[in-house]
Amino acid sequence: MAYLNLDKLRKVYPNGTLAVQDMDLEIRQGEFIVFLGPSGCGKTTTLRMLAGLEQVTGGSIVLDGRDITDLAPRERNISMIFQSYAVWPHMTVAENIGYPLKLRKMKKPAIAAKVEHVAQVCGITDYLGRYPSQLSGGQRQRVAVARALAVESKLSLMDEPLSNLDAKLRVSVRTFLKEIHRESGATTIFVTHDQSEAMALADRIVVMNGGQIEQIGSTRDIYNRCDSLFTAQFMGTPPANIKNVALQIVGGRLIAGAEGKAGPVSLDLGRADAAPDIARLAGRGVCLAVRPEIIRIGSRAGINDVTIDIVEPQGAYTILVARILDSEWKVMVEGDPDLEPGLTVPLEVDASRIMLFDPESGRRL
Amino acid sequence: MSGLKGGLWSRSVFWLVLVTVCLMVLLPILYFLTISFASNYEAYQFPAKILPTLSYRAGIRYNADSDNYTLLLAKGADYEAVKTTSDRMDMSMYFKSQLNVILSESSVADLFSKARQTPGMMETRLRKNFFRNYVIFFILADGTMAALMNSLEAAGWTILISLILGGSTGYILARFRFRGRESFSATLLVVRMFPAVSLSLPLVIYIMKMNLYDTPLSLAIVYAVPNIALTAWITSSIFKGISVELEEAAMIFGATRLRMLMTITFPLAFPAIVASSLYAFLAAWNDSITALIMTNENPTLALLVYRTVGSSTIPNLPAAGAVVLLIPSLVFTFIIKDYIKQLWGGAKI
Repeated sequence: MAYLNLDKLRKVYPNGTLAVQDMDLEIRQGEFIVFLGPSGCGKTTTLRMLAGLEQVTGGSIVLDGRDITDLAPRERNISMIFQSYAVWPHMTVAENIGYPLKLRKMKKPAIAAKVEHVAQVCGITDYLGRYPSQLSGGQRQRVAVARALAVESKLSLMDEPLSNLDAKLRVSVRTFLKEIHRESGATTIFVTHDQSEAMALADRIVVMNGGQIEQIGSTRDIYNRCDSLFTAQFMGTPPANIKNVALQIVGGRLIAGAEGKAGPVSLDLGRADAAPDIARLAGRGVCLAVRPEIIRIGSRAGINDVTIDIVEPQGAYTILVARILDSEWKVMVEGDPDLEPGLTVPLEVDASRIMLFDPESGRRL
Repeated sequence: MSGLKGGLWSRSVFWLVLVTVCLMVLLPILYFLTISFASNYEAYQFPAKILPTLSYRAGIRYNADSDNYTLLLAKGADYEAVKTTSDRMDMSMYFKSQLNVILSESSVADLFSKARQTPGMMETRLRKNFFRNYVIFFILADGTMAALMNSLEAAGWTILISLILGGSTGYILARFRFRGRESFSATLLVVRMFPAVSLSLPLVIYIMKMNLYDTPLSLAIVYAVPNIALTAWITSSIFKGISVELEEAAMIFGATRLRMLMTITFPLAFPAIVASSLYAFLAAWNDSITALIMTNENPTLALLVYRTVGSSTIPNLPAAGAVVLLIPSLVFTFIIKDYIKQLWGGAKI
């Protein structure tokens, strides 16, 4: 039996919008789960249903053997960290952390000890007497984390807690959250639309789209073995290059062909026997997804010669934009090679890492 | 204030405007205050004094031919004869009623005997009983203390009713979406369009049926009508400014909805609550028209002052009453001014 079990969870808003459709999910104790998806995909709605802030239309939520579907938020023994921090401005840091404990009828000395302890863990001991308005965004979020830690809840929810922080702080608070999770071992559900956050934090990522789960898996699975075209397009910066092609084997080589504006175009994917999983699909139309980093500049001129249109150096890597299969594709090459727009280079594709999808259903082939 | 650095010219204009505006506001109040301390005699004098006087420069002359005494008061460089009598009691009464000078008959007799020994006019100084108008207003005017209590009670009820009904309306308008919410909040202000009289007259019938006629509570019910709408508007804008996540956090961390309201929402909305109670207080405190209709034996202080104005031809006694009426509102406003400031600027929510 899973620690947290969502069974056919469903949310329909009064205006008829179907926000979450029959969501099934099992979470083990201590897992760090990230709900990832574009805005409006139902991830926040699901989180709010878990918190009890949104009424459940159908299905059930069972937490640690107890059905909490219709319980009030305070009866669920959960904690939450909000995007806006939601630390109470009229209370000091210590009062903010102690408020939930007071509501749990803890004795004063016990509260003081607990507050002191979590403040130490979160590195905010010096600010206990201050008001939130005297703290920076990062410090406020630490207060929110300390408050959530102090209640030792069964489930820790985080609703885009890093979105209001500036880019630099975001990374450091992200590391801090991961540290906290490793130490506390609290079962955590984290909602975000930022894939790098998701990949950095998650034990398992739940990719959501249109109120449904697209894929559940580890960062590796989600990135390299996408179940659906949506995930392939959503994950990755820049995302995978997509094209509907006809796959053929010509002279032992895998060739992806398509109709361009000025006649047929093709892309050589390498030797057919190097990627048997791909080769078995030869002869049919597929949707080809190629991540920018599995394309590299080849050594043999004459195969996949393309002209570079744009060069975007990023320091550690460089993004090239070129017309491949008559679409604008992105290619990621390591380092900062000496390339210029207008240059023609041969390209090689690591066929074992390309992903193919059914053009109709968008599911992985 | 950076405009102050803009050179002598703009600085002069700034101060000129500032001083003019201050004088425009303060001079009438000062004059009003002076009137409230003026004796009947002073109230009729022209030109009127801008500052209250503490004593009179006076003279008493013995008229040997008619064996009586003439009281003269300084007017500019000259003296003006104001009263001629031979009777000590008559003079004492005149001192008290017209000059607010309290002198016993024996003291008057002393003055008379001194005047008799002095050839021509005997100069003297008559000390004014400074607060006599107020004393008269409180002790001699009938039921002032009771009226003051009525006013306070009516104001208290008005605040309570406005806050409970208006505050919850404001909260609902801020937090819940429902059909016709926008038009509802707009129509709320329509209530304020009705003049107090047009509300009081029909309401008086119901108030009588409820056996509440001539009570402060009945007044509060009428005062609260326009104030509920205003309170709803003021509080809803503040409630909207309080992030919903602050409330949700409280509920997740173990608070019931009531507990959340008491410990999170209300403390954060405190400036709005205080501002609304100020409006409610002032509306109740300043009204005399509704009180005129709705009360009989138990008038409010404002009504009492209003009646004094009507019955007296000299403005000093009503002025004293008006100052008495003014003081509680001033005190109340000063106590809560910090919260109001928080509401209109620099609110940290």
